[in-house]
Amino acid sequence: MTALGFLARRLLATVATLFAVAVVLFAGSEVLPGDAASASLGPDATIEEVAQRRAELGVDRPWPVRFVEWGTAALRLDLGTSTSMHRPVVDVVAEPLAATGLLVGLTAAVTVPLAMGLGLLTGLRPGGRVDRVVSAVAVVAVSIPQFVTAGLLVLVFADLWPLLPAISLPPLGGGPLDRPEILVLPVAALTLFGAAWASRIVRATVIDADAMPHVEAARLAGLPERVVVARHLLPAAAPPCAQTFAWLLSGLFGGTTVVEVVFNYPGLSQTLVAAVRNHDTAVLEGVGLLLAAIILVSFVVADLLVLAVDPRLRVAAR
Amino acid sequence: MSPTPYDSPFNRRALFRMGLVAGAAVAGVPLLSACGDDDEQPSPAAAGGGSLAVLKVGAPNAVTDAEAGNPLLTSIGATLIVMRHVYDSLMVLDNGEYKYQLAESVQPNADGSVWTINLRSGVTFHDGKPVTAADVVHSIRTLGAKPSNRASVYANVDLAKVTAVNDRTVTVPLLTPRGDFKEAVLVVFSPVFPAGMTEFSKPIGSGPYRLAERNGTTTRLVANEQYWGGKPSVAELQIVGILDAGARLSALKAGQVDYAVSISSTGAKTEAANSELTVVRGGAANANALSFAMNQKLAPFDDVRVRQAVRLAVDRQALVDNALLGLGSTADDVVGKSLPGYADLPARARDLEQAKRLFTEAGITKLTLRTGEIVPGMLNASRLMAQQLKEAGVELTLQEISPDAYYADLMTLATHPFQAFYYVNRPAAVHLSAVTHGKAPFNVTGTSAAYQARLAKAQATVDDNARAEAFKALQEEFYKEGGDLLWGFQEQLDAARKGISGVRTMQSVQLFDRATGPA
Repeated sequence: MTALGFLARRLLATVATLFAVAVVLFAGSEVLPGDAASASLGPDATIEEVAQRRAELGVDRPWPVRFVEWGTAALRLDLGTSTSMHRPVVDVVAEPLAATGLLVGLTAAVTVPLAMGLGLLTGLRPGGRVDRVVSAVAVVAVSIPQFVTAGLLVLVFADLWPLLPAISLPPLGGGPLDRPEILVLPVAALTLFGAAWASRIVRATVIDADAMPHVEAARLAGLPERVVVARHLLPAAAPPCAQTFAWLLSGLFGGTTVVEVVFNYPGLSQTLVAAVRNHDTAVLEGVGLLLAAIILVSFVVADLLVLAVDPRLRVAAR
Repeated sequence: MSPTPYDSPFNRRALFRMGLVAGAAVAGVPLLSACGDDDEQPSPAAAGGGSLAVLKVGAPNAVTDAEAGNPLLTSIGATLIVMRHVYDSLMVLDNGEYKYQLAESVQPNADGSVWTINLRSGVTFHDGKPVTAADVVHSIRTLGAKPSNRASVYANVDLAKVTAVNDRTVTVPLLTPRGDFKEAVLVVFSPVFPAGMTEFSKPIGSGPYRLAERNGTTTRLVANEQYWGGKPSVAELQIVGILDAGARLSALKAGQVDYAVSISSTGAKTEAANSELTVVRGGAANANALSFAMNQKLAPFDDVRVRQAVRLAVDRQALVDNALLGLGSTADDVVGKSLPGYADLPARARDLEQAKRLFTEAGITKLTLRTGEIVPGMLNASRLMAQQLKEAGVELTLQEISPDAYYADLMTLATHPFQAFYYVNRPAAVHLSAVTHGKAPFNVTGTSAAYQARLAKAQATVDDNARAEAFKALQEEFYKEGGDLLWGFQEQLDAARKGISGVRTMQSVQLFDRATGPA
């Protein structure tokens, strides 16, 4: 099988997964209680008015018809129209998606090197003093719920010691980057958890790779430790690490919600809360589908990176 | 710091579904003498404070692009605050009184089938054009037709026949004659915008503020210096959407906002001693009315003795003290306390002996309550009531439902004999008209056809005093035999930076145009 074939197979699997996600999302919003009709009608609407509005919105038609309509439109990147905001879903989510993407991107940019560094530091000398201290801190950081971490950060850095804003308000007419200090606490809250979690996995991977015969052989041949790590150990540890960071990315896209609420960050969580409030299923389904697509693509990218780094897989792929 | 139940979108959605949202809801028995105008308001200087360059307000939601300044899409919190500042309405409920705003007078014909609105003169829109009868005709027609959120408010108006008689006079014919047009329609929702305005991306009103700009979180309003009601004391208002109640309080304490709309009762308790902040309590006039609703159509509550026994068995003060942390007041089974037209019913005291006797007579030893945390404290109140009923010899089983599913199915609501419920406290006549009529989706107390006939008669009564009496009689009937065990008012709780005063509340919607800061 060629690398191209491998890629084709991975893409096919991704499309199949995305389809499954679409089915689950659609079914999920079908069984949600309430509907957009009564949410949009508001005060003192009668049962007859709700029924009429349901007919206007087309939600009274059978679900298979609506699923096919929604699915085929989504293929053209048309995610429908928001019932509460009367705008295309793609327009509604563009800005918050970019804001959440910025938060996730910055967190990843801090977390990945940090987790790699800590993982190497602890994994190369397991049981050492550094390992014991870092591991203890990491276990604590992973076990505290994120809203607690975020709340503590606000308490310390905004309330007791007013260095940073308590909530993340971008300036009027601008985005988060126009007032970068509002990004510090949310990124810190996400990084604390992400780096602690990922560094534990990197550590285990490094310990495994360190015990591989070719690494041992390189060491016995008298190569300097720096070269052993860079040329022999890291390539062996890279595939699981790439997978780990793909998982991290997907976790961040899901996990930002809590942190966004605590800091009132202008990301997807606000869009989702408004959508739930108005029973705006088009927005809920659209955001779900977009997030699933981003996460699935990040896994494909991780696979490609692995393919590029690990010679064994390239051989196998041929 | 996780969202409190009070903040949960599910609860707010539920509130919205009920159609009993704060500010949606305003009116009662019209007492013409109470229809003053705003000229009597004290000026900021008289109140002793100083004017403010900027006031930042943390609200429970952000205003979206479409909602900003669009009166057709106003729903809750920030959208209502923006709407009330950008637009004037024909009539409003301000400080517990019905007041004319853009209208100067509103008069019915003999049978209440046609109403004549005379406009205040000399009022101009933000673009300098005068407010005329043509603008009012256009506004009523737009508000009354889809996609307006408030079309149901105007359901009884013959929209096509609304007419501008001259520049300052509009006639509004109704499909069915009604005596309560002012309080049931105009006071509830009547913003006026220019004729020809069909989309609201650049909203133009005649209110004390104009919409300057907004982003995903913040809406900026600047003072309309030529405002006919007097130059606003706050030059610029920023309405900031902060979803989480804890985050709103953090932002206030960190100085990022000056006023936090809606904080949790635990937050209010914690900050009571904080000298930097003032906790603002809304009182019963700005409150949710909490009820355990008994459906009179269904057994065992079709027996009036059972309804009376349950009402006598509960200790309302204990419920308020425990479930609401004391941040509220007791209620006496009828909505509308502290608002116009309330019948001033006697406080209902606990009478265990009488309750026991009535339960025994009716042969009741067991009841089931459908309940959920639809407002914070409701589950605790339900559990406490179970203990109180036990003292009266009745075993109460609680059937807990998650708040997001609570209002999902109208049929379930209509067929459960006993369930936890809440209403926005609004004038009794408006509440009874909206909730106890036969077609109301949330008529969960199952009022009888005879009662509904009396309600329709009261609504059609044109004479203000006679209608007030008719609605008082309906309240007394509801007090004596009705299906609500309405036990408490859960107040609107806000917090302000020390020294901020002059914030008014219209049915839980805050008005900041006369706010002042530390002198």
